[in-house]
Amino acid sequence: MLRLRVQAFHLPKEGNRLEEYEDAWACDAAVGRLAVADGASDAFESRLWARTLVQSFVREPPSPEELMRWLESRIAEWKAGIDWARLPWYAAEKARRGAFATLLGVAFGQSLRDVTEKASSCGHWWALAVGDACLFQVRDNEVIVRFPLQQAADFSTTPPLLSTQPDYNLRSLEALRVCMGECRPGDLFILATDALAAWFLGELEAGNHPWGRWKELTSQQFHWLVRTLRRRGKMRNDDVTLLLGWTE
Amino acid sequence: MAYTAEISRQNPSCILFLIDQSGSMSEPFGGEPGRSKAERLADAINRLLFELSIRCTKDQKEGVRNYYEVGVIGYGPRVGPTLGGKLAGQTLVAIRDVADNPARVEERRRKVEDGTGGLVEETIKFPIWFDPVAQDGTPMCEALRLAHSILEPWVRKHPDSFPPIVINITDGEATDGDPRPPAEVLRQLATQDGNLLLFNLHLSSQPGRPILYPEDETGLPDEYARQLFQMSSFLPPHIREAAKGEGYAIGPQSRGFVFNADIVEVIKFLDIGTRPKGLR
Repeated sequence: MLRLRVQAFHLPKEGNRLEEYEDAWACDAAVGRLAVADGASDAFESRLWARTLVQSFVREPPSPEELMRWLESRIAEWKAGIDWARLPWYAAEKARRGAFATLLGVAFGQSLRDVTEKASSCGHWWALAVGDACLFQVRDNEVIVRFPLQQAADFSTTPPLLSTQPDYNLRSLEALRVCMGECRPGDLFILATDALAAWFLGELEAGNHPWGRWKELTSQQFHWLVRTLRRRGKMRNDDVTLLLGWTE
Repeated sequence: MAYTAEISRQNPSCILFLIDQSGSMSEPFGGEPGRSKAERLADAINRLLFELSIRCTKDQKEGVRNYYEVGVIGYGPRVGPTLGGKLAGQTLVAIRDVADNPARVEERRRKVEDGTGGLVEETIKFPIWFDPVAQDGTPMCEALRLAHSILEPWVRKHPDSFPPIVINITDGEATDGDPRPPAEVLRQLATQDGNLLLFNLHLSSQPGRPILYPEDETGLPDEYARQLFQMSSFLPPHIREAAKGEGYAIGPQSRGFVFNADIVEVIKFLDIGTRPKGLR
């Protein structure tokens, strides 16, 4: 049976404090589930919403058909995290307009059915995405899966988002993407939020292997990499999250 | 490149409104009987302060982040700051203090979607900072000079910020001289990120199509309209994009100027003209 080893890295936007980081990530290597989300910074408590989405995905990933009902429970969790009685008028109004985030979740198992039944064995994987956080699967030093975006030019300033507003989600779910595949020992699964994913795709298009030195990546090296790329104008200044899942 | 600075709490931006409060503002918009221009403009400014406060609110812990300093200068019976309540007399106010100190809070009804295709009415709190005034002449030159004296120290204190945006809203001609020279002096104020942006909004007195973000003086009916056009800054790229996104025909020479605006164009102008390049 395959085992999953996971490394997680994150960094807030340059100029922001760590507590202002509005991406989120969660993983359960034993069960084989990984998720990243990117909270929209012009909304209210998107950080809480992003965190709610990734933690819930890892705890109980939804099948695509039941995503709308799954979201109802997440919205209730988000609402429970807000002290409504003490909100001043501007926060109440902003909260009424809702929180927004992208979501990318990956679950490993023998089959999709196993995934939803909380099986933990590797062999197959399944992913869902709303928005522009991306998954890359690397085998034998080649990227064999890019999901959901295929090229750097696919990024826009208005990606699909999951919201605490059910009406909004009806439209977003048209942008839901699902992907399945199989995995072997030695595969690398890369989950990245948009700024890093856009750079990564650009590197692939230039024929580079940006994951080349990530086998022993440390937090310090990750911070240096991101800051250098930002300074050189090769990566947009944004919150950055990277999950590396190695199958063994 | 100019006009690219991100707005942050370390490098806030500044929005100053110059509001014509002369006697003619008591008339209704051209072709729109009912409430006066002064009343509808006060609604639009209150609405914008409401939206700015909300734009700067991101979580329940921190409340409103101080991304902006805001001022409202009236010119009519007198020239000076016109926010009411606790903010009376202050020229520039941090947006958090604006949000926390409306002069009063009214309750208004609005219709919202009920999630099943219908509409329900709900009550929302509508804070009021600014009340309508319509009296006397139009001392626009004095207002432009006051804006300069307020913003000159501001740009010195915030050299790395996005430069101040001044939005002048009037329905007529200045009664205290040619406003172009003081406007020119005002536009010379600058941060590292570019010169101050002066946008002019001319309110309609007669029915007729507004002239929106023109590139030249073609079609402007009189000397006063041409003066306001000449006083207006070119739109910076991100505002050009925002205006294009709203469906306006915008060219590289488009200026922040609308002639004969109805209230719908006023509200859109305020929204587009204050759209940030980026909030961090």
